[in-house]
Amino acid sequence: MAKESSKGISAVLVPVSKIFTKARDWILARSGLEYFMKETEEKTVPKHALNPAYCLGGVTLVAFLILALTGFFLANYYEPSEGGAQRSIQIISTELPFGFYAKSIHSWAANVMVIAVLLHTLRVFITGSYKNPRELTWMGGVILLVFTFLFVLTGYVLPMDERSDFAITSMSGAFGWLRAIPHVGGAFNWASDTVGEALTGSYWMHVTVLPIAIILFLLFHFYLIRKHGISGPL
Amino acid sequence: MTEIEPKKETEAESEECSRPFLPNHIIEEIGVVFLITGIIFIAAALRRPEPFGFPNIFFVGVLEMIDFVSPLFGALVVFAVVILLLAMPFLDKSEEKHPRKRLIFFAIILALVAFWAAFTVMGFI
Repeated sequence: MAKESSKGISAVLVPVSKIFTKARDWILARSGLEYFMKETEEKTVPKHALNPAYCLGGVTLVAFLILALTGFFLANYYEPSEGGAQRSIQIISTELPFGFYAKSIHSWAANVMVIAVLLHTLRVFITGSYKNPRELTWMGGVILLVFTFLFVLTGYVLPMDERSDFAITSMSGAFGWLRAIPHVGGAFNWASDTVGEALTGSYWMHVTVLPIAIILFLLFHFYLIRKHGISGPL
Repeated sequence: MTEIEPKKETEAESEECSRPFLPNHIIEEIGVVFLITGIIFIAAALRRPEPFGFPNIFFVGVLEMIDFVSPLFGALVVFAVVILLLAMPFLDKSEEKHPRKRLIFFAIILALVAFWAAFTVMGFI
């Protein structure tokens, strides 16, 4: 009886698995990913790649992905207006299920990302990993470091609390003059000393411009890492 | 002038490549991902959202420096540091990788870190 039922199950599973295998092979062949998969299967990595100092780039990426996920969640409930910002943060923190936890994870992940990216930059510098052939990887990384700091600063403006005053003062003090540039000055509203302008400008930067820019540069960074491999140890 | 052709890995560096990416490396990488995610999630549950207090330790130094000089000059210093970092591969073109054999560039970065640390301390006083 048991033998008959197992035969019945395999009579269903074998054709289903064949369909999946065929579908996978078709997708790989049509998309050109066949070559990528084959290359990945044959790929080797240096032994030192799991040394904690060489994992800092990966830690930065994990923190960024956590920030993106919690950011999506928080953006659904956040209101980017002078009157609404504090109120929506209050609702997220007190009324929304897991809202306070999501906000807390977002903040912690941001700090982990900044620390990891700074240590990653320092490690790359100390090991001289920016040298030929990895100059572009380094330059892209420096731009990603700048984007990370802008991400944190614009994020500080959003809650409209004491940290926001600090961030608005910092940004308008350092970059406010960029707003005087003819025609494109409006793109630097995040560096305004007016609270309303700084809030909408920072929100626009934080949820649109910087995520797109950081994803594009990350893809470029990963492509170059894949092309040139992980740098050798000292 | 920078060489156009990218430098090939030396034999010693190539010999290092002995671990298969699939499945060995990727399994360990996934372990690291879970570890970092776990640390962030547990830390967020145990402590208040602002881990290092206020004002934020990463920006105090820069703000203090901007206050110390002037906003425009401070911004120029920030831009100059970014340009210096971007240009580093073209300034430090030697084959040497060990910091002891790149003392000038290592000293420049140490000086930058020291200035940042000093302004951060000044900001908290």
